[in-house]
Amino acid sequence: MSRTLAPGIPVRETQEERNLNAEQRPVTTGEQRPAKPGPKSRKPTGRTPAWALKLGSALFAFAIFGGSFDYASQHLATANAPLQPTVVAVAASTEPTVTLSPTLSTTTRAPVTKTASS
Amino acid sequence: MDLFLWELARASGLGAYAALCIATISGLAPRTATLAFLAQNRAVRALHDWSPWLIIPLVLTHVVALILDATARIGVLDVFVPFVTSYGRLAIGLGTISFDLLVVVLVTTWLRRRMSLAAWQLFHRLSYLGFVALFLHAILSGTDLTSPIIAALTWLAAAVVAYYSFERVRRSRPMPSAG
Repeated sequence: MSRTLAPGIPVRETQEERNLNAEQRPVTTGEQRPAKPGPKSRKPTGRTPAWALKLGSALFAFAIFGGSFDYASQHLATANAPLQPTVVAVAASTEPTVTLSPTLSTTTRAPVTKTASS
Repeated sequence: MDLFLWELARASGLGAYAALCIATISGLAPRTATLAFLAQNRAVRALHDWSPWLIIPLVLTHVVALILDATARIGVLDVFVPFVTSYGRLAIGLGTISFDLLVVVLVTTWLRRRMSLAAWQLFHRLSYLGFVALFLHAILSGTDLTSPIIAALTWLAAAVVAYYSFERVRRSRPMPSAG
C-alpha cells in the first residue's frame, strides 16, 4: 500500500499505513526480517505446534496454581505477610457481650422441703 | 471453610500472575522474536489469542475466593472500585486497577472488529499498565512473596516482561532515513 505523488516517486508511509501494512503482512519472525542473505544468517525457528504451546502453558499455569496451593496449605499463617487484616480486633468488637447483674427471681411453686422452726 | 478459601485465593493469585505473564510474553513475542527458538509466530499468536481461557478462570477464582473469605473482608465494590477497602488500600487498590484494566483489554479485544485499529491498539496497550499494577499488587500484598523462591520467580517473570517490552518499543521506533 504505497502512495505516489507521481508515477515512480514514492512517498513515505504514514504511521497508520505502516500499522495497517504490518497487520496485513504475513507473520514472520524477527530472525527472518534482516536483509542478510544466505542460509547461514538465519537462525533455526522452532516448530512447536500451537496446540502444544497451549497445552504447555495450561500445564505450567496449573502447576504454579497447584504448587502455590500446596505451599499455602503448609504456610497458613505468615507472620511477616504484608497485609494483616485486623481479624482479632474486629472479632472482639462484634462479639456479643454478656453483662451479669445481681437480680432476685421469685417463684409461685411450692417449696419441696420445709425448714423446721425452733 | 475460610482457610480453604484463603489457600485458594493465594494459589489462584499466583496462577493468574503466571497466566498473565504467558499472555504478555506471547503478545510481545511476534515482534521481538522472544519465542522464535520454540515456535513460529503463527503458533505464538494462537497462544496469545487463547490465553484469556487461562487467565479468566484463575482471576475469577482469586476474586470470588476473596469475596467469600470472611477474614479477607473484600466486598463486591472493592473488586471494581479501587482504594475503598478498610485496610491495605494501595496494595489491594492496585489489584483492583489491574482487574479493571484486564476487563477493558478483554472486552475491547472481543469488540476488535467493531473498532478502528488505532482505538483497539490504544486499549490493548493498557495491558502494560495493567501488568505493572498487577506486579505492584503482588509485591505489596502477596502473602506468598515472603518466600524467597516465589519472590525470585515473580521478580524474574516481571524482569522478562519488562525487558521484552523495552525491546518491543525499541524495535517499533522508526528507522532514521538514510541519505
